Amino acid sequence: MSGSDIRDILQIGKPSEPAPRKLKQAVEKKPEGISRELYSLIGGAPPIAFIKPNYKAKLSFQQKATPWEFRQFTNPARTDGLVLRHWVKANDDNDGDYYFAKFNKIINVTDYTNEEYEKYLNDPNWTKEETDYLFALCRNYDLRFVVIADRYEYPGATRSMEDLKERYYGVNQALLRERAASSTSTDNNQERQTLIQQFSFDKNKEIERKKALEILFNRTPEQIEEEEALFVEARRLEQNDMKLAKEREQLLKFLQTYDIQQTLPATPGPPSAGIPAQPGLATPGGIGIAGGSGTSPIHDKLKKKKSQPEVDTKKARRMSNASVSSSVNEEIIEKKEKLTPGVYVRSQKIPPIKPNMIQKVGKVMDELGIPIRPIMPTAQVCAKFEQLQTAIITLLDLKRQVDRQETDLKVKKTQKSKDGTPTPQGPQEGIANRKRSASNVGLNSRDKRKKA
Amino acid sequence: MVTYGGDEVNALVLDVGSTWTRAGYAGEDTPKAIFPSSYGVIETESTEPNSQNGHDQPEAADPDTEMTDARTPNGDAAAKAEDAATSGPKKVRKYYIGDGEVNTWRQNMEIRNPLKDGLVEDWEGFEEIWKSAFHQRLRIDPTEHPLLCTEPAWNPSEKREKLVELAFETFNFPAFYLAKDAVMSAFSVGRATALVLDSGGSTTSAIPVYDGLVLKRGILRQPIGGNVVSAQIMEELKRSLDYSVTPQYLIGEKEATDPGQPPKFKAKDRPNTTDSFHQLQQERAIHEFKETVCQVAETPYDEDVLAARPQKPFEFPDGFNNTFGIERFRATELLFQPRSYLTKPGTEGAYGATFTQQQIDASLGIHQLIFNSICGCDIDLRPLLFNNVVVTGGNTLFPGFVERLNYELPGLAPGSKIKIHAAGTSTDRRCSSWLGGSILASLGTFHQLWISKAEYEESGASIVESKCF
Repeated sequence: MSGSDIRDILQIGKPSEPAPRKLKQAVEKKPEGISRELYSLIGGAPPIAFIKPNYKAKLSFQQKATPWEFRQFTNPARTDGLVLRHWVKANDDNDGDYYFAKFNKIINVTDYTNEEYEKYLNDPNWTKEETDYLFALCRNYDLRFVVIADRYEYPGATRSMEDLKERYYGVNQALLRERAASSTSTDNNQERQTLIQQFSFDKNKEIERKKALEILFNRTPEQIEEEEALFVEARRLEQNDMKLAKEREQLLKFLQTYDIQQTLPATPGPPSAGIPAQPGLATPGGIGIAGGSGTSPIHDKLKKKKSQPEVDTKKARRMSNASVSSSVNEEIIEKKEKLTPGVYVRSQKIPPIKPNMIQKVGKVMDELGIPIRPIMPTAQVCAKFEQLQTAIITLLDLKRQVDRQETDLKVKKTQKSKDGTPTPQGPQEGIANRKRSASNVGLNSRDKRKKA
Repeated sequence: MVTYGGDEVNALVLDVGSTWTRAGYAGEDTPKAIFPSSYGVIETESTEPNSQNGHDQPEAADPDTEMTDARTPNGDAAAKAEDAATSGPKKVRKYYIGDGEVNTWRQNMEIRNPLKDGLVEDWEGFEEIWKSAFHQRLRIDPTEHPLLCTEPAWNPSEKREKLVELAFETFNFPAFYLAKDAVMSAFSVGRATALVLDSGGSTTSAIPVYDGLVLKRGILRQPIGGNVVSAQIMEELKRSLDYSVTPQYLIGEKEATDPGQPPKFKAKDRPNTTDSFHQLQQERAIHEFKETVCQVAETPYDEDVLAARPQKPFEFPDGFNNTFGIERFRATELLFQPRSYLTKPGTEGAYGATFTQQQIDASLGIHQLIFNSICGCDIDLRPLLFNNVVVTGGNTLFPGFVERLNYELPGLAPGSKIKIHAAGTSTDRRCSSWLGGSILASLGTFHQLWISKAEYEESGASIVESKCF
């Protein structure tokens, strides 16, 4: 039982100042290696959980209640001095302005004199009376044009909201311009210009905008559905395009490496000299350019040559990494470049095969009767071994590619025979359409048009 | 006071609807007094003291309910003279206002409703309602309180001016304001821009409100409300079950009967009952029927599907009881498909208000009413309105009403986002326009808008047009 409980029972008020809360004592940490039970026996026991109850401070009745007064007030936002009464605290002697009067914001609507109207604001469509009427409404409804157009009841005139806006902004613009011209000061000319610009209103554009909105609003459920379907389709086409580009890139890469394989051994020499001349080399950046006409190799080459120099060095490195070259000489230079500290075995330098290819490569090696690791890894052997390995990998890749194309072709052929219409399609399109279901024949034709 | 922008000036809020009148203090959440707008009246020759009304409650003897014909001091003589000229000997009218008064049987008591189509037609009775509200129910001195009164959005200016006159000349309120009930309903759910669908006893209206101002060109209304539903239920009962409702006041003793059997009861002797009183009492019984049994089909009305729903039993005051299945849904379907479900003119046994074929052809389902009203507004505004459909009025309290709207509206406006706001409790929905008025009149910033007596005296009643839009 705590002191406050006792006080509660005896109905004694709380001590005027609540006792300062005891700070939590830093609990000594149990030394390592002693069980908790033992530690609590030998002292330094954790305190029993006893939280001092924390009551809400009692209402103090010492203070005298502030009386409230039913007081009269006038609202300066009114002009008639209406006296209303409300309750306020007696000690609140804010006899000044009524608190809420300051919220009475009045929008400034431009005024014009008769003279000004005659000079600048004449409009064959509008009389002065009607303009006055419009401006009175603007003032009345704080420029809420929706309401103004709704309440506009000038005899003998039917005006749309755009008419009203055009007139209002037109008058404002004219007045601003003329007043700027008449007042000689040029200090805030720019400000005025921006103001004039703010008041520019293009009625036709506005009408057109509303018409467009109206059309949008009047769509039938079927139209909306179709629109949504088209949107989804467009998204899918976009995705397919990306996939297509990726596949094409891959294909070109294979072709490229294949070409290198074919040509490189015939032209020994430093890689930096030989590679730029290689035909059919596609840079990653070049794919996009060649994307539209992937089937004409000459065209490709031309394009690729342009982008060759920038990526030259990069490619050179890649080539050497793949150790396409055959000469030992190169190998040595290569080794020098990426000298690693410490002792190493030469066979370690043979680039590893991708894990998913290991088995297949191993199988081919087996067929050839070559062990998976060179038995006598001299520099020459290693180089040859590397070359062989890359060649095998390329071979496998190409083979896979060919298989794929063949199945594509087959699918296309069956599709064609089903349709009965000749669909001239290159292998490229075959890749793009491969994933598509045969039911989307309509889609395919659209697709083709797009590509053409 | 500063934190919530309120400043109480002891304003009163009065909302006279076609079925219920609500009166109370601004700043409170429910009206202090809710009583029927229909009142009872007994006309007697002035020479005869009201001896036959001796059993009335003492309250009714209050001098306030005593007939006073004059609205304005100078119009007094003229009105009296007119009265005398038309009805021969001077007549004294005794008014009975309030739930207990109206529903108590009295000989020759006529029941009248001062409103027609939401507009005040019978100013004398209307004044009595004001008197009753201020003197008997709120018991206040009108000179001490500003008054905020609601009006329908289509109130013509002469009626508005008359209201202002009534407030200042007859009741001497120091300040007065006339607010549109649709705007108030929108305020009550915290919205300044909304499409307010108000379906009450006599009228159903769809009113677009923009920034606290009614857009007059979008207002759509039709006289199809709760009363029509009641009338058709009565017809239906007569037609299918050959039963006409006997109200409570006629019943002396009754016996329990099996469902569907004709009621067995002993009628009380109630001579000189007026037709209007009988009708009101019948409507009360039907009202209860509507509240307990009726429902709106949540999806398009399909008799086969709805007939499978569980039936609900109901017992009328005379002991007649039955279980109701499809009838529960059929009665309310006229709100959504009035063209097919309103009683055709010339149908035998038509009860209460009947419609001409032309009216029926022009009538619209509630969802269509909302849609048309929104389409009457500027295209820029439509998404805003669709997103703020406020549903109010006692007639919208049928279960399934809001669900049905939620089903129908997206079909009409497929591309728009539609959100329906309907207060959850029945009091809130029945008193939403009062509640909005209560909120408005307790705002500190509102007090600059009152029409003060000084302003009225300076500019006359026409000031209402320039101050309350």
